[in-house]
Amino acid sequence: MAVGFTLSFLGCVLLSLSMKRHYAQVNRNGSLSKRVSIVLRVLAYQCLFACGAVCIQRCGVGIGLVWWWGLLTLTALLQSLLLAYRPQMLRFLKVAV
Amino acid sequence: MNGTFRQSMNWLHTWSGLLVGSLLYFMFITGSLGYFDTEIDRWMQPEIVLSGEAEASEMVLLAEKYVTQQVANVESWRVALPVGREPLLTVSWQDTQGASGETILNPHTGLPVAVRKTGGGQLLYMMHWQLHYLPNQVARWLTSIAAMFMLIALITGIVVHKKIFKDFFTFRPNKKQRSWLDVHNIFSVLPLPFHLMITYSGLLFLAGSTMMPAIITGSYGTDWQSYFDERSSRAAIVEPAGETVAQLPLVTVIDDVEQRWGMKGVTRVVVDNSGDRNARVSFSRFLSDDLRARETLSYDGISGELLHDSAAKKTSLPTQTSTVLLALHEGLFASWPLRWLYFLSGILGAGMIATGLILWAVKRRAKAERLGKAHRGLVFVEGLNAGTIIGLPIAIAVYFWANRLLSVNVADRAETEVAALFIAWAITLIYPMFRPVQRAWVELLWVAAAAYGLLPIVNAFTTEHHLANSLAQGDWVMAGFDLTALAFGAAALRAAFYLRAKESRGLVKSSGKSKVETLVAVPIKASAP
Repeated sequence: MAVGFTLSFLGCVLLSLSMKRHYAQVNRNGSLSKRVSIVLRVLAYQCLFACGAVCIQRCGVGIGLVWWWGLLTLTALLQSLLLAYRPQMLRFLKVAV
Repeated sequence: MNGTFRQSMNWLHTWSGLLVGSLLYFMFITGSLGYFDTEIDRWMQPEIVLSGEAEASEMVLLAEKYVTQQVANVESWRVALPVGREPLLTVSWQDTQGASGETILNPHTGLPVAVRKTGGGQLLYMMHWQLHYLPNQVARWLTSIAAMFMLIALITGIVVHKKIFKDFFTFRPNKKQRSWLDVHNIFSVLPLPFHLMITYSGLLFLAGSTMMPAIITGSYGTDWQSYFDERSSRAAIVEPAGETVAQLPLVTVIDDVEQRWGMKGVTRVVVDNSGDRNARVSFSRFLSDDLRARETLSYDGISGELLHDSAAKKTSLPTQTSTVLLALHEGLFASWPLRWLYFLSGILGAGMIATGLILWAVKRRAKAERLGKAHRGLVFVEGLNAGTIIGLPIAIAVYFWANRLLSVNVADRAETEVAALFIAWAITLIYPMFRPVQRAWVELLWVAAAAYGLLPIVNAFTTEHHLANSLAQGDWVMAGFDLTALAFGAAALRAAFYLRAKESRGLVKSSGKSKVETLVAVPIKASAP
C-alpha cells in the first residue's frame, strides 16, 4: 500500500497547488496561471484515481474502496498540516511548476 | 428562522448539532476505541500469557470437553478461537435456567486461565450504543435519535458549506474563530465518506430494534419468524424440541468442515439446543478478503447433516446492501493499517463534533464580550464543552487506571471499573462550572496529560508488561497501547502549554481588541436573534 499512499499524497500536493491560495503559500510571490492550474489539476486527479485503481486491484472492489477513501483522508490531512505549518517543505516544487 | 434556504439549513445545523453534540461525541470516542476492542481486552487482562499456536480442531475438542465436564444443564455454548486479531481461546455458555458463564482456556491443555474480572474493551465498545446504565431500549432510542440528528447535521453541513472543495486543504492557524471553522471543515470534509457511512449504517443497526418492529409488523403481521428466516445468514434458529437425544460428537462435524474449508481460519463454533433433538451446530470462518469477513456452515447437531451454507444462500439486494453497510461499520475485515485509518477517521469525527461545539460557544462569546454580558446558556455550554471534550478522555483513562489499581479480589470488579469511569466524568463535568472556563480547559488538559502520560508507568509497576519488555518481546498489542497512551498524553500536554501561552497573551492584549467579530465571513452566520 506504500504505492497507494504515495500516489494519493502526490495527488493531494498537486491538487492543492492547483488552487490559488495554496500555490501562493508555496511560491511566495508567484501567481498561478489558468493553464498551469488546469495541468496540475489533471495530474492530481490522475494520481488520485490511480491510487484508487491500485487499491482495488490489490484488495478487490469492496475493501479496495475502503482503502482508497482512507488513504485520501489521511493524505489530505497531512497536506493541510504541511500547508499550514511547513509550506517551505514544498518549496522545492517551485522549480518544477 | 426565515430567510434563504441556506440560512435555514444553517439554523438546523447549529441547533441539531448543539442538542446532541455531547452524546454524539461520547458515541464517536467509545465507538472508535471499539476498533481496538480485543487489543484493549488484552491490555486489561495482563495475566494472560500467549502460548503459541495450537491446532484448531484440537482447541474445539478441548472446549467441548470443558463444557461437557464442567457445565451442568448446558443449553447453548460457543467457542471463540484465536484467529486474526483475537489472541484467545474462549468458551461461553448458557444453561437451561438462563444462567451464563465464560472462561478463557489454555489452547494446549484446555485448562481454564485465571484472569482479573474486567469489562475490557468490549464493554467500552458496547457503551457506544448501550450507554451502560440505561435500560437497553431507552439507550437504543436515544442513540438512534442522536444518529438521526448526526445525519441531519452532516447533510445540512454540506449545504451550508459553500466552498466545500475549495477549502479542502485550508487551515489558517491563530485566527480565532476562523481557525476553528477551518478545523471544523477539515475534520468534517476530509473523512466525509466515513462520517456518512458510519452514521447511516449506525442508524440501520439501531433502527433494527427501535423502528423495525413497527415495520415488520406492517409487512409480516405476527409471523416474525419468517421475517428472520428471510434475513438471517445463519440457518433458522429453532426452539428446542424438549426431547433429549445423544448428540453427535463434534469431531464428526469437524471432519466435514475440514473437507469443505480446512479448519484453519475457523473463528467461531456455536452449539444451540445442546443435547436436544433440534440441536444445531455452526462453524464460522474469518475471511480477510471479504467485507463481511465471515462465512458460516450450519449443521444438524444430531444427524450431522449440513443445513445451511451462508456462501450459497441467495440474498435480496436490500439485504445485501444492509449487510455491506453493517460490515463497513464494524470493519471486522480491516487489517492493521486499515484499522488505524478507521480509528483516525473516527477520532476526526469526534473532533468534528468537538470543534462544532466549540464554534457555537466561541461565536457567542465574542458577541457577549461586545455586549459586556454572557448569557447563562452560553456559560453552561462552555462548561459542558470542556467537561465533555477533555473530561471524557480523562474518564476513559481513569477506567484503565482502575483496571490496574483495583485489587483483583474486589467484589463486582468489572462494574467498579465502569463506576470509576463515570464518577470521573461526572467530576470533570461539574468542575468547569465552578472555574473560569479558560482556566478549566487548561487545568483539565494538565489532568489528561498526566492521566495518559503516566498510564504506561502505572502499567510498568503493576504488571510484567512494561514498555521495554513488550517492545523487546515484539508484543505490539501491549506496546501499542502504551505508546498510544503516551501520544495522547503528549498531545494533551502540548495543548495545555499552547492554551496557557495564548491565555497570558490574551490577558495583555484584551484591552485593545473589541472587534473580534470582523472575521465572520463564512456561511455559518448565526441567525439567532
